[in-house]
This record gives sequence, structure tokens and C-alpha cells, in this order.
Amino acid sequence: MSSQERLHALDAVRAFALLAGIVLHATMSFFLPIPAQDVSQSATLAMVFALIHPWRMTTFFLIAGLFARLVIEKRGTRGFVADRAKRIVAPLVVGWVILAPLTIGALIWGVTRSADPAIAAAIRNPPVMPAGAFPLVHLWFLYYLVIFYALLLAVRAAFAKLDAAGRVSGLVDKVVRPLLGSYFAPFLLGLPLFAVLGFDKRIVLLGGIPTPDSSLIPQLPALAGFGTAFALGWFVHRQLDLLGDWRKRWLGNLVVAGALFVAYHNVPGLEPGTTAAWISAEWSTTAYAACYILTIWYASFGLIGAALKFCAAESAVRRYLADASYWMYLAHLPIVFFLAAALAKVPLHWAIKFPLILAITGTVLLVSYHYLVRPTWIGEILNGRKYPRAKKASHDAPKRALRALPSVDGTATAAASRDAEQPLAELVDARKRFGKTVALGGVDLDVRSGEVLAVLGPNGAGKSTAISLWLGLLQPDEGQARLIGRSPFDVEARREIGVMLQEVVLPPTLRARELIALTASYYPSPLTVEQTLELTGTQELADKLCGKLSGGQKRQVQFALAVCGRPRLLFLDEPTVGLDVQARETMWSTMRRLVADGCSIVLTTHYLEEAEALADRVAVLARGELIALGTVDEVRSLVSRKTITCSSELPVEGVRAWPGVMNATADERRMQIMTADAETVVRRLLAADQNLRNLEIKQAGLAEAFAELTKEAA
Amino acid sequence: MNATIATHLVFRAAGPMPLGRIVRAYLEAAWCEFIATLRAPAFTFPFLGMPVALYLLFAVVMAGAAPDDPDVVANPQLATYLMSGWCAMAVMGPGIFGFGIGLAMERDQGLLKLKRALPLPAGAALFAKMAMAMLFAALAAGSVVIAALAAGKVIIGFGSLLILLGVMILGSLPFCAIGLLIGAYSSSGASPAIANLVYLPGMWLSGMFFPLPESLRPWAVIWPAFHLNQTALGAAGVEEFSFVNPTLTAAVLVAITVLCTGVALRRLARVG
Repeated sequence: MSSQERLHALDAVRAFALLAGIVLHATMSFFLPIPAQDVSQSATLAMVFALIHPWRMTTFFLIAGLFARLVIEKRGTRGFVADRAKRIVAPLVVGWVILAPLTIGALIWGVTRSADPAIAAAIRNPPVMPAGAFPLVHLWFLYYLVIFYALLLAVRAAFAKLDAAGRVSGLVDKVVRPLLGSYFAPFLLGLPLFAVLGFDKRIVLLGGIPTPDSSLIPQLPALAGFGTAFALGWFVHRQLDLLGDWRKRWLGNLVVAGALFVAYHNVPGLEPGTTAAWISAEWSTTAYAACYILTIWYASFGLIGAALKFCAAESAVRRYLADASYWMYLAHLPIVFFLAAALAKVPLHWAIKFPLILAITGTVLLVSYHYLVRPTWIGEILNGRKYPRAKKASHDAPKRALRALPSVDGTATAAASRDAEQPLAELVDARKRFGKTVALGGVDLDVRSGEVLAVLGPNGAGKSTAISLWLGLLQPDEGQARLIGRSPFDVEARREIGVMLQEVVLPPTLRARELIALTASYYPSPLTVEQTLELTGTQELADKLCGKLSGGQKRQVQFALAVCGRPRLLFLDEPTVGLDVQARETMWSTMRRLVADGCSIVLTTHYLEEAEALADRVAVLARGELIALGTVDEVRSLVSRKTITCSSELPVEGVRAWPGVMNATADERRMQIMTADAETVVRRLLAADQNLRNLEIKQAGLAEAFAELTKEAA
Repeated sequence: MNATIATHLVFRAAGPMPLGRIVRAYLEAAWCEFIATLRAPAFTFPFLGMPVALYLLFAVVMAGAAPDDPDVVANPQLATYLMSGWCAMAVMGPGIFGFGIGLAMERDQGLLKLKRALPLPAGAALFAKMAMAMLFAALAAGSVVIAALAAGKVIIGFGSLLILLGVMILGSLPFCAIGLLIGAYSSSGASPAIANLVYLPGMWLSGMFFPLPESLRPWAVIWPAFHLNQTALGAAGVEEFSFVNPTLTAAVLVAITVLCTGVALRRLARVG
């Protein structure tokens, strides 16, 4: 069977174990005084409890162990720890604060409503909590999972060190595998728990492993029983063909479990409280324990096998329930206890009340899951993903075909060897909206190694948005932003860039020198503070508090912060605003020096002369669109177009078709001709029209050119 | 340009960050946070000076003026309770305000944006602020303890005193988390008000300095300061004033820390 099918089946059986727990807790008031002794007691529900109790947590921990190895293999140790912290530790800690008071509240309320007056009276003088007592409530299973994860990581680290060649683990695989593959595996697996509980009267009193829900001190029976299951799960993931054995033997295992169950419930001498001639009283507990422990394992294998056999296909309903089950189990106990307590004194038969409790609980849990958990961050934390409630309508703008990006394996050396062809930063059809405003409407732009790219544009053109996408300050709505071949959110990518942003107030009580040292500490091989000061000509500012610097001086310190990490790529957002002429010259010469040493620069500016002095290429943005991209000369030709105005009788359509004429318009009095080559056009005009008058030639300024380009773009 | 740096300036792929440098980045960030805060007297005075001043006024001068008060006579551990209460107050401030206002201001001033664009190791900024808050908490609570020693108000053993102080210093973490949450969600204009809304009622209504009216008593459990005070008193073995199992109150503090930090980090990672 495929790994996908296995996953479906195991997910289903884990969900089944969790949901069976809800049923189990709902039976309790009908034969136990927990949370309240119901007026209608039921031997049938006691039997339901006894049927579920042996296997549900063992099965759960077995699958948890298997999935633990799956996650570690997929994400590595760090990824595993992060994932478990989010999905297990956070629900444990936060869930406890919310669920424990509610559960205990329902429990106390229930006991006071108990039909048995002796119990109600006992609550008035509650027993003193023993030392180390802690009400973990039903969240104990998360606590033990955390313990097992910690042990697992420790053992794994020890193995990696001591058994690097894998001899021991290979031997374990070889020896243990045949034992586990046989029908008698439960005899081996039951040993640890039997050693702990075989001679302990509690197994009879409590029926199975004492639930470790009232102390933070790890309890030996739970460690032995559930720990074996967890370890087995881990082992099974190494030997996945074991699952095939279980699948084949599902019925056999269940039959054996059933027979054992019948035996310890009905055979005199085995059944608690009975005696028989064939067994002495002191051994009967031990025999009961043996049967019970074997039942745990046969039932668990039988159920997992049945799931592999019958639930391997993908089913939307099972998938949904599997996702919902974690939330449902976490949240169910206060609801179940509250309902049980509320119904305890109602004179109805248990056959009505019990289904009612399940129906109400199930409805509340499913509805809350569907609306509060599945589509929100709670679902993302619990299940590792979030399902949007409804698919969003597709964007009105037609989506451009995404240019395929070169695949990137992320190693620094590979990246270096591709330096020549791989852009340092790129935007691929990047789109970003803020509400209804389109900040970027599908921009493709890359920064090549060793170049200075100037990004120009009027206010609100999208320059800062483009930079923010590259820096990972914003995420594109559509399309991609890449930095050094990686996601901009990757800190490794950011280690190769330096940044100078607009409108940053540096910490006023730090000195420039301290701030440079701090920023340099983020980089693997930065310049020293002295080198940085020297390079940027800021020695005189070094010992001043940032709060005492002038606007221009702050820009200079920010520039020093940007270069101190020895970046391959610098982002400079309006670097020279507020600088005096000399400081600007110094900054320009530093930039040239950096480029000569192999640094690339992305520069946004309002000053065309700055772009002209420094840039290899210029990108012009307007209204979120890239409207011009080329070398400085190419863009200068756009900006250096001239407007010729004259009074002429020539037909405007004819003039428009002349070589070198970009556009021509005319009203009754005047003709306007736009051209980059005014001299040639004027010569031809004068030759063609002897009566030409009022000739005027005007140089288009930057603002005018931008206005023109923007108008064309609109 | 000077020749001394010419040989060093090669801009190339940087390669991985050695562990030593990552550790150094954490320490450097914590150091800068600390000295930047120390140079801001508007922050240092209220949080370093106020708790010890108030402790001296209420617990030493005023309580000393009424040595025959039946309450004082009946509860010899009252002096410890007061010391513990002012210690709790001392450790609350740096966390709530340091994170709450500091973070909101950094956002408004664009510094947070710069930090997000820079390659700070994961958690370095958070660690720096946390270390700063704990250090200030230690200084502030330590001054209360020293004042208590000087005034002869310490009647518990030295070991218990150290445990109490240790719990208090660690106990600044949940308040850091609360501050972080405030800072993550509010602007620099709103954050002082919100921080005060958490700080002042939390301080007065958790019954740390004087007996609460009967009607307010059960509600003390909603304030984190109550849980911190109870954890410290319970751990130090001051049984007369330990009303709740200290493991439980400690668990509440851990949960508050995890919850607030989780929600805040989520917001910071997405919105900044």
C-alpha cells in the first residue's frame, strides 16, 4: 500500500481513538460518581467504558510515535521541535489555563449535584491535595507526549554519537523485527507494563493503567505502558512492512482481544472480586493484569489493522473528522461533564440521556470547529494548516503567466558559482494591493550582480513597495519576490544585504559607534567599526548620541549601518535626502568604491542627477507599473525629449510620420512636436514650410517626462 | 580612500554564520538595549527608584509607626508579605513598559522595520529586551530586598529569601510577554495607556499590599501579579500567606507567557 494510503488509515484510527475518548467520558456518570452520579445507572455503559479504555490511549501513543519519526525525517530535529512546540506544547499550556478551571468547575458542580448524598457531603470537606499534585485533567496525554518527545530526542542524539555506523540499531531491527511480526508480539510488548502493574492492586481498582492526570511527576505505569507504545510507533516507522502484518491479521488480533476481554470479565478467578479453586487469591490479580495488558495490545493491533484494511482510501468525511478530532478531544471534557452534571438528577432513562449528551457535545464541538477553528489560526496551530472558509473570487486583473524561476538549492557555494547569471534580487509578476489601491500591479524586475539599479518614480509610484517586497517587509499578494535566490524571509538571504530605509529614527540614546557595532554583529564577516567609519567618512560622528545628530548626519550613520556587514547587495532608499553637497559627494564616492569592490546597489531617488551619476540601469515606476527600464542613456533619451512649438500650415498627420518624431498635435494656432532629435526635425520643418513662425524649442524636465510617462501608462 | 581597509573590502557570498557570532549578536543586542535604557532616565527612575521608595514608605515607615497593630502582632509574616508584594510590583514594570512602549515606539519610528530587514538572528531583539527587563527587575526587586534587610524586616531564612528573589526575577517574564502583546498591537500613543491599564489595577487589585474588600477577593486570581506573588511566597515557604498551590500559580504564569508571546509573535511576523 502507498504511503499516502497508510497515512489516511493511521490518521483515521488516531481520530477514532480520540473520539472514542469523548464517548468514554460521557459514560462515566452512568456508573461512576464522576462528575455526578446519575439517577439512572447502567451496566451497559460500564461495559462500553471497559471496551474502550484498554486500547484508546495505547493506540494513540503508538501512532504518535510513528508520526514523530515521520516529522523528524521530514523536517529535521529543529523543525520537529518547532512543530511540536506549536502543536503540542502550546495547546497543553494554553489549553490547560482555559480547560482545567472549566473542567474542575463542572466536576465540583457535578459532585454537589450527585444523587448519592454521601458523595455530596464529602465535597464539603475536600481531601488535602498531596505534595506534587497538579490537576492536568485530560490534557495529561499532551504532557506525556512532551516527555516522550524529550526522551526521544535525547536517545536519538545519543545514538547518533555512539552508534554512528548504525550497527546497534541495525541489530535491534534484526532481532526485534521478527518478534514483533509474530502473533505473540503482545507478550513482549506487555512486559514493561506487566513488570510495573502485574503485582499492583491498582490495575483491578482502576481498570488498566492509572490515568496520570493529577500530578506533574511522571507516573511509572503510564511511562511504561504508553512509552512502550510510543517507542513501538517509532520502530514501526523504520519497519513499515509491520503494518502489512497487522493489516493481514486485523481480525485474528481482534478475536484474541475479544476472547481475553470475555475471560477477564467472566471467568471466576480472573474477574475482579471473584475467587476460584484453580487460582489462589493473590495470583488472581496478576493473572487479571496479564490478560488486561495483552488485551491492550491485541486490541490496538486489531484496530490499526482494520483501519489499514478498510480506511486506506481517501475520504472527505474521514479527513474532516480526522482534522476535527484533535480540537474536539481537547475541548470536550468541560462540555461532557457539564451536561452529565446537569442531567444527573433528571428522571430519564440513560438510553435517552447518554445519546443526548453525545449529540449536544458533538454538535457544539463540530460547529465550533467548523467556524472558530478550521478557518482560523487555532486550526493552523492544532492541525498545521488552515482552510479558508470559501475560495476567494479570482482577481479581476488577468493573471500573467509566471516566468519559471530557476530552482535554487540554497547552498552558498552553488549560489556563488551562479553569480554571473543569477539575479541577486528579483520580482516576478509581483502584485500588491493596500485595500483598493494597487501599489504594484505585476512588476518584473531583477537586480544583476555588480550593477547599480536606480528605481525612479513619482511619489506613490510603488518604489517603496518594491523595496519592501525584496526585503521581506511585505509579502506579495501574487507573484514572487526573491533575494539572493531565496525567500526574503530567509535570514540567510538577508545576511548578504545592507539596508538604508527612509524615515527611521535611530535609538536616540545609543552612540553611532555602538549602533554600528550592533548592526555589524548580525553579519558573518563584517567590517570593523573603524573600517566602517573610515569608509563612510563618519569618524566625527562616531561618539555622538544618535538623538543629537542632524538629519543629514543621521542619513550618514544609516549609510554606515547599511555597509558595515560587507553586503553583496545594498538597498538605499533615498540615501542623499537632507545631505549637504560635500556629504553627498562623499556618499557617492563611497558607493562607487563599493561597486568597484563587487557590491551591487539598488537605489531609489528623486534626483535624476544622482541616478545619472551612479546607475548602470534605471527602472521607472508609475502607478505601480514598470513603465521604463534600460540603461541610463536609454532612459535619458526618454527624459531628454524636446518639445518644438511653432505656427505652421503643414498637416499634422504628415509631421507625425517623420522619422524622429514621437508625437505631434495641433490646434488652430500652434503645432506641438515631441522629439528626441530636435535639430533634425527643425531643419526639416524649416525646409518644408517657408512660412513657419514662432519657433520655440523646450527641454523636457524630469518632472515633465515623468508626468508624460505616467499619462501614457494610465 | 585610506589604504588600511582596501585589502578587506571584498563583497562576496558571506557563507554561514558561525555559532560564536550568533551568540555574540545576542549579547551585543542585549548590551545595547541595556545601555540605551540606562541612558533614558524617564525609564530608569520610575522602575528602579519607585518600588523601593514606596516600600520604605508603606512597609517600613508607616508599618513601623504602628507596631502594636493587632494585625501585625497576629501575623508575624506580614513583613515578608509586604516585601514580596513590593518585589512583585518592582518586577512588573520593566517588562510591561519596556516591551509595551518600547516596541510600539520602535514601530512608529521605523526602527522595527529596519530590524526586520536586517539579518538579526531569530529572537535576538526579543532576547535583548527580555534580558534588559530581567536585569532591571533584578535591580529593582534587589533594592527592595536590600531595603528590607537594612530595616530589619526580613524574618525568613536566607535560602527562602534567595528563592523569593529568584522567583520574582524569573517572574518578570510573563510581564514581558504581556508587554510584548501590548506593543505588538498598539501604537506608541496608545501603548502607555494600555500598559497602565494592565499595570495599575494588576498591582492594587491582586491584594499584595493590603487586605482586599471581601467582594474583590475572589477576583484577585485574574491578575498575573497575584499568581507571581503566590508562586514566590509558596516557593519560599511562607505558609501563612500562601493561599494557592504554587505549582498551579506557576502554571498560570507559564501559560500567560506562552499565550501572549505566541499571539504577539504571530502579529509581529506578519504585520511588524
